[in-house]
Amino acid sequence: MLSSKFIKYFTSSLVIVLVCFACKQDKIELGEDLTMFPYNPETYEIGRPYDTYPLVPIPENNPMTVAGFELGRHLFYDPILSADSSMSCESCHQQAANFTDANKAVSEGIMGIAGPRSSMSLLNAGHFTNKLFWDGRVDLLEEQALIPVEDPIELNNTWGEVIKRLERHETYPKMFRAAFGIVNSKEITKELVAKAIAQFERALVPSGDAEFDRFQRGEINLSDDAQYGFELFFDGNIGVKDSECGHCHNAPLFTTNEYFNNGLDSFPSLDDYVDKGLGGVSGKFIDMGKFRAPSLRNIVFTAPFMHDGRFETLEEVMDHYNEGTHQADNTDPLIRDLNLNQEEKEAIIAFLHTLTDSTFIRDPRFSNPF
Amino acid sequence: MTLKFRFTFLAFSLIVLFASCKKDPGTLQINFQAMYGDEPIVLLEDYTYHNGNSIQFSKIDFYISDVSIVDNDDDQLTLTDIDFVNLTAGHENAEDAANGYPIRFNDLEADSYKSIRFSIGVPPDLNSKEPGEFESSNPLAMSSHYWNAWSSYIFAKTEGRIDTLGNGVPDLGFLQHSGKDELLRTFIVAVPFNIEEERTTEITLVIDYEKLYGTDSNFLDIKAKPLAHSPGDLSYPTFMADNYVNAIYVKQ
Repeated sequence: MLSSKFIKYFTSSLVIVLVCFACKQDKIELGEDLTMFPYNPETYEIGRPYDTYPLVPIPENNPMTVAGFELGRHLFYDPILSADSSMSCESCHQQAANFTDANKAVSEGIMGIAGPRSSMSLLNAGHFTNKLFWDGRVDLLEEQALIPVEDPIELNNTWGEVIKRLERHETYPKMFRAAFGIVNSKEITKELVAKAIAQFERALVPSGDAEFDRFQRGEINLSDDAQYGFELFFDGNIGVKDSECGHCHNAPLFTTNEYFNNGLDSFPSLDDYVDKGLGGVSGKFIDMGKFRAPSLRNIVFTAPFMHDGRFETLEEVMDHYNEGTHQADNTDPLIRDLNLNQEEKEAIIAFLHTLTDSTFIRDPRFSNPF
Repeated sequence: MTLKFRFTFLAFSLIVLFASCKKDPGTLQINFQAMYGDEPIVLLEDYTYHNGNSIQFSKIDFYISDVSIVDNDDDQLTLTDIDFVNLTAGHENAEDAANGYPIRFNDLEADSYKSIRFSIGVPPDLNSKEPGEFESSNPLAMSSHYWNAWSSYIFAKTEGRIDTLGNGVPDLGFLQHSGKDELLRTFIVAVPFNIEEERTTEITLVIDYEKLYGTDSNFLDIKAKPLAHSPGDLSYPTFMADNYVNAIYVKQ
């Protein structure tokens, strides 16, 4: 099923790219009529690993199209968005690292200034239905994509400059035409840029090749270690200890899209949290020190861990939950020392490895087109 | 020309007349309010538990299902098959807590009604499904309220902290999560009300969490079992589900 979708996608993408690049020699003047280029939107189908895996919600004002996805992919990987053309979205969200910033606790923008938090994975970004970022500061991918361009510690550009570059570009006006039906390059806006990038991000779903997904489809059994870890993780066997992981990292997304205080730090009062997370956005006392529970899919590619990248390894993460948690008024009740033994901790890590989806991080549909 | 003008004017007048005669339907707003005894619950505020120690709440929510109203002829009007009462969002501060969490039902026929019927929990036909089978806007799409180990939705969550040392400081996190078909509970609340055209009728349904935990002589020992969410032991969630009938009332 995925193969036929892939062939369909590949063919459509090839046509779009060929149309755009075949006309490469025809320089487009600013404001020139683009109606000579085709606008035949074709729906981009987002797959899912199995039938009870949720469908990606698509906003009515930004339907998924093959041309929109392809434009978004180009923009995502193009350093044209940054002030000095040195960085793109991909600089902090690399496919090989499950669209995080490989091995960096926090990312640096074009000025070399480090941001305060770790780069979030974009796998399943379309399923982030309860706001985005570690602190829930925006509602939709279309809003999120607007922020990094002008953030001085990220791409440090202005939208005016980005739009000027795109309007005069030899390829992008045609791609915007194919994606959104604009009739001349002066109609390129930051909102359309954000919509295209959002379409690309919304398409970043698992391939279905992870061991866990094949297990869910009844195609394989898990190894003994992983099966034990599965039972510990989900409290699925009354005779097995409950490690409480599944409450915040529930299947099939391995996140519940909620925000938690997971006991990382100890402060005298909730108001004292240095990084207030969700509370810094909502201003609510009860939200102080809460951060989004990230998905654990492909977790092995996303080290270091936590919102500030404080843990280098999964073993350190397990040790935190097992014996290193701190209590505050809003710490989740499930956050407490778990008293797991070494065998149990290793079993849970073995289970986490079944969430590894190597096909996704190598999928050419999501790779750099340049 | 004059005739045409007269006809147009007549037609316009008739449209205005009919439009003005159209009876707009009414709205029912049910406010769900969490109380602890006589006080609206404010998250992270201290209340006195049955054993005399402090208790505070950080999350309170539940599903309601098969909500209907019954008129004086015993005809039942179904309002919704499922909804989610997020009392956490409705009780973050004293101002919100005084009003509770509103759920509105629009386009209701004007009539006199005598009761509200609803269940707390997810009925079996929906509980046999999984979040991925619903559109993201459906309350049943929340994976936070589905527990794979039970193959069931989590019908209700009550979470907070309790003072285990008797020093007035809530030091231990607790939670009670209910689920599974056998914990679905249905209620008929007798309350006479009218739905009037173009007006909103408000009814406040109180859930008294002090009563939900029992009485001073028979209450849940939260310290003994702070995490009550295991499919192998539903005793605490069952105790609470059975106590809804004592804890729910209409605010006058």
